[in-house]
Amino acid sequence: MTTPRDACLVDARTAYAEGSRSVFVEVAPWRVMARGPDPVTGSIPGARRTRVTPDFAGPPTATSGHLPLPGPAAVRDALAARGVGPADDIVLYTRRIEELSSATRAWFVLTWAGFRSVRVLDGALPAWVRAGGPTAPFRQAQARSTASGPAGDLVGAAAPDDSGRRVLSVTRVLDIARYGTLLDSRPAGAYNGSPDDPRTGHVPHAVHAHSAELIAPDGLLRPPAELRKWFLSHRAIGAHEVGAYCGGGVSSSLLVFVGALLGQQVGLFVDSWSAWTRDASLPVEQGAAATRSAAVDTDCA
Amino acid sequence: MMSDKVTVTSNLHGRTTDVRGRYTIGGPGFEIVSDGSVRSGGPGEEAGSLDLLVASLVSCALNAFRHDFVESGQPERQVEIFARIERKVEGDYLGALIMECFIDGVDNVTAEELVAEYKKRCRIYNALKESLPVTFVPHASGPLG
Repeated sequence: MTTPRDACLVDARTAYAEGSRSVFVEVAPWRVMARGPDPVTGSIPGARRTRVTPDFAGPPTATSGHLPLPGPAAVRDALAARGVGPADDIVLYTRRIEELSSATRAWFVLTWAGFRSVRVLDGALPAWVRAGGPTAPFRQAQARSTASGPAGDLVGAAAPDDSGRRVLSVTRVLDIARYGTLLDSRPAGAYNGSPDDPRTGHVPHAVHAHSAELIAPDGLLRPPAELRKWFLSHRAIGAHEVGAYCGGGVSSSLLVFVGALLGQQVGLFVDSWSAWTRDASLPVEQGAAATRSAAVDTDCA
Repeated sequence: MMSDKVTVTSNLHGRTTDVRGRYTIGGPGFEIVSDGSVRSGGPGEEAGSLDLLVASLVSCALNAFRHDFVESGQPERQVEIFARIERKVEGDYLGALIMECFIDGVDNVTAEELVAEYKKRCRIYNALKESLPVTFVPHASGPLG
C-alpha cells in the first residue's frame, strides 16, 4: 500500500534502485541558499535542469509576491521543453540540502498543475552520492516521448481539484490566522520584526515555524515521529485549517510538503510576506511570541 | 463493608489578582496562574480554564503511561503527550479531545494496553468522557534495545 509519505518522498537508495523508471529533475534555487563550493561534482545522469524562477514561479505583478504561481500551462510547457510530462514518474532534487525547499516548491507547483507522480529526493544530491548513485557532467537531455502529448496538453494530468494542493488568498490567510493555525516559516528575526519599521513582523496570530528545523543534522528530513511532534508542537495537526507562508512561498512549501507526508493538509499563501508587507491595509504584529486570537471561543461559559 | 469516612482529595484556593482577568490558584506547595480569555477581557496568556481541564487528563495519563506494567527494577518510560480540543467554530458544546501519546520503549500492542488501562482506571476521564469524548492516538517507538 502506498502511504502519503511514499507518494511524496523517496530515499536515495530507492531512487537509485528504481533507475530509469524515474525522470530526475534538478531544481536550482531562486537565490544562493548556501555558501561555499558545491559539495558534489556533476548531476544525476540524464537529469533535467530547472530553476525556481522562471519554471516554478511566474512574473511578479504590482500586487503579487515576488515569486507568484505560474500558470498551469506555462508549467507544463516548461517541463515539456525538457521532455517531461504530467504522467511521468518525476523525482525532484536539489544540489544541496540547504536548497531542499526549492524542490518542495517545484513539488507544490507540479502537483498543483496536475502532474500525477512527483516525489522529492530525501537528502538531495549528497544523499544520492552516499547511496552509491553515479554522477555525470550535465548534458541537455533530448526531448523524450512522454504521455503528456503536446506542450500544455492535459493528457495524463490530474484534475486541479484532485491535486490536494491548496493556494490561499489573503482573505483565507486572515481567517486561518484567527481560527486555525497559520505558520510563518521565516527566520526568527524576520518573524519578530523591527520596532523601527512597522511593516516588519508577521501576520497577527501566526506561529513561528522555521522550516529549516525539519532537516536533521545528517541532511535528511527528520524521522516521521519527530516531524509529527514538531507539527503538533506548532499546533499544525488537526481538523482545523492550517496554512503557511514565508517571504515568497518557497521555504513555506517545505511545511506544506511535510504536512502532506503526515497526512495534514497545509495551504500555501504563495504571495507570502513580500506581498503582505506592501499592502498597508493588512495588519502586522511584532514580537517573538504568537498571540491568541480573540475570535476563538475558549471560554466554558 | 465500605467505610463512610470522608477525606479531602483536592484543596485549592483561587483569587483574583491586580491584573484584570488573571487569577492565581494555589494548593499546598504550589501555585498556578490562570488567565481569562482575550474574548472575555482577560490577558489570554497563561493557562485558561479549558487548558487546566485538559491538563488534568494529560497529567494523569503521563503518570499512568510512565509506569503502568513496568516490572520492578525496569526503567520507567519517557512519555510525551500532545493534547488538543477540537470544536466547530460555532459549536455550542465543549468539543472533542484528541491526545497523541508518544511512549518510548513499548510496541503498539503495549501502547494500546496502556491506553485501555488508563481508560479503565482514571476517575477524571470516566467522569468527563460523556461530555468530552477523548480519542487517544498512541505512538509506539518499539521495545528498547
